[in-house]
Amino acid sequence: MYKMVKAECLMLYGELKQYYMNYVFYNIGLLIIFMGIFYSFSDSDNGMALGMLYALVMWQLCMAALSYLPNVIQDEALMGTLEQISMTRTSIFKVLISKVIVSAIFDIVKASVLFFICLFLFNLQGLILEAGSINFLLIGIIIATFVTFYAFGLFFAGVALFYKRIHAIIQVISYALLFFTNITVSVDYLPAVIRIISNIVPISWAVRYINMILEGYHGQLNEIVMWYLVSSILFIMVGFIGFRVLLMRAKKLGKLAHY
Amino acid sequence: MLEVNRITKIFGKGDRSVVANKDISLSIPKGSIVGFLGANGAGKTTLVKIICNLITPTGGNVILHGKDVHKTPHIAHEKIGVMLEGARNLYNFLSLDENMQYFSLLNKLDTDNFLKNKKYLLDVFDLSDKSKTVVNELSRGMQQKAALIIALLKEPDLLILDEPTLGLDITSQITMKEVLKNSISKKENTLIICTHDLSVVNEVCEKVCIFNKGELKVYDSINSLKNESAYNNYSVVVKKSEKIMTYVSSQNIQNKEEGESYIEMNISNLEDLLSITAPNEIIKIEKNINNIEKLLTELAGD
Ligand SMILES: Nc1ncnc2c1ncn2[C@@H]1O[C@H](COP(=O)(O)OP(=O)(O)OP(=O)(O)O)[C@@H](O)[C@H]1O
Ligand SMILES: [Mg+2]
Repeated sequence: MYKMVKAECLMLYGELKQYYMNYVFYNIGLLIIFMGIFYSFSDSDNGMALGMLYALVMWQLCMAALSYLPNVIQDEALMGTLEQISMTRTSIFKVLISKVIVSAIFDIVKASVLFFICLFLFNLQGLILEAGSINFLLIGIIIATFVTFYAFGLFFAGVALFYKRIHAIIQVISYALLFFTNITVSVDYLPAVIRIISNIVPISWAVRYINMILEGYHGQLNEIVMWYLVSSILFIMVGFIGFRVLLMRAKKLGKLAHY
Repeated sequence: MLEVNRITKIFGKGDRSVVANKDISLSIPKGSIVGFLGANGAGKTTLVKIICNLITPTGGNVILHGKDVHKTPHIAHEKIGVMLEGARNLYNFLSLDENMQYFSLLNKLDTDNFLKNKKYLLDVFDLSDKSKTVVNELSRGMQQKAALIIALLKEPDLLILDEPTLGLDITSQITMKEVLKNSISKKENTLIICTHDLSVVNEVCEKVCIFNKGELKVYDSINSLKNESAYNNYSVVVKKSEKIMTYVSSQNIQNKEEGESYIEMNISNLEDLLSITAPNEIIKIEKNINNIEKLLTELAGD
């Protein structure tokens, strides 16, 4: 595994050399979105402001995670390298896991930078110190949700084998998740259909979880934790099973490479 | 070593379905070099991908080293190295060197051996000064050679190359053929080459599979094809004599050219001619070897 991670670091380094400007602008874009959302939605009393910043960072990480594997599969199918990595002495699954490990570390570093910039920009240093060790619990929830979304992304990675414009779908999902999962507005105010769908998504529960912890209110905590776990497991299963089924189908149709 | 049993592959359904492979069976022993020939769309690439477990067949199975490739894909990953058609086997944003290193890690290659082979192959394909260049910026032929180098570095038991000489200049084609011959003769591995380049078949391959519209038409060694009487062709020049002239008219021999005292013609049955000519009547006998290309073209066509 160590060698595989090394190989993926090599890959990331090669990509960064070519596309580093994309990364810079992507993150400037995120900063602008965060600022816009924060100033429009955050309560004036600042009580929930830290929760919102955590939720925004989580959303951004989940989107990066969700789109990561579909993009990998799509790019590799186009380059023809998907067939090549399928044929190496390392299983494709291990290759994807190593890619995820490297990308996750890289994303967390980027998210931390963004987090600290926003922390000072929104003047939340005081709140974070006040929260103390609770912060670690919150970071734990964020990372767990982040990993869930990598797994969920496998489903779309499978779809990417057949449908070349997967990027468009993911874009739509990411906006839906930003506005319909308690990050900006509580889903309780949304139409019933959206509320039901929203409650299947682990992010909705993670945000409730985070807010509940920050408020120091433990009333419904057990219920929230349970639904958080159930929805996460559901998403992970959809990812793995979906990918397996779609990969098998792609091999039948000879679609491991897009020509 | 490799057994292909009754492989059938049908793409699509109903009216629009395409039969890419039709009930193909063949057995390739260890150490052989086999050329896959056939017109565009004959099903070569499809069969190769089925052997690699990149495409699931509609029927039949592939047995490699005694194991079903579809049920134990691991065996294919372990033992097969493949360069697929179209020079699309590399990460185009990485340099050649980075590509080699990446695949060496994924293929779990021994570092010392890898470095040694890498240097040798870069030298031999004249790419040493290009190893730091991003693949995007290499020429089409260079990309092809780079992909071949990566396939060779794996040192697989079964190496499969889909149109390896496509887009290569003449020197590189010659080098390619040399390297392929050497890589196989030194080690005890097997090579399958899909190609439209008959010189590759003639110079490198020992056996040839000829496909036509998904069916395997011919699977034979090049030498036995060369010996097939219908294509065993000699051009002879002999002195005219009564016996010869009767023989010629009785055999209905085409392509003859008569001079005043000699006759020049193409024949396939040398024994008959020798039995009626005295040695001093023979001016020239020459075997037409390059007919193999004509033969292959005929077999591969409709
Ligand atoms: N993924 C696919 N989906 C549908 N049809 C396919 C697919 N791949 C190949 N075919 C069809 O199968 C047939 C065989 O194609 P294949 O690529 O195996 O031919 P080939 O012998 O490699 O030809 P070439 O010499 O042009 O490389 C063709 O009719 C092709 O259109
Ligand atoms: Mg082909």
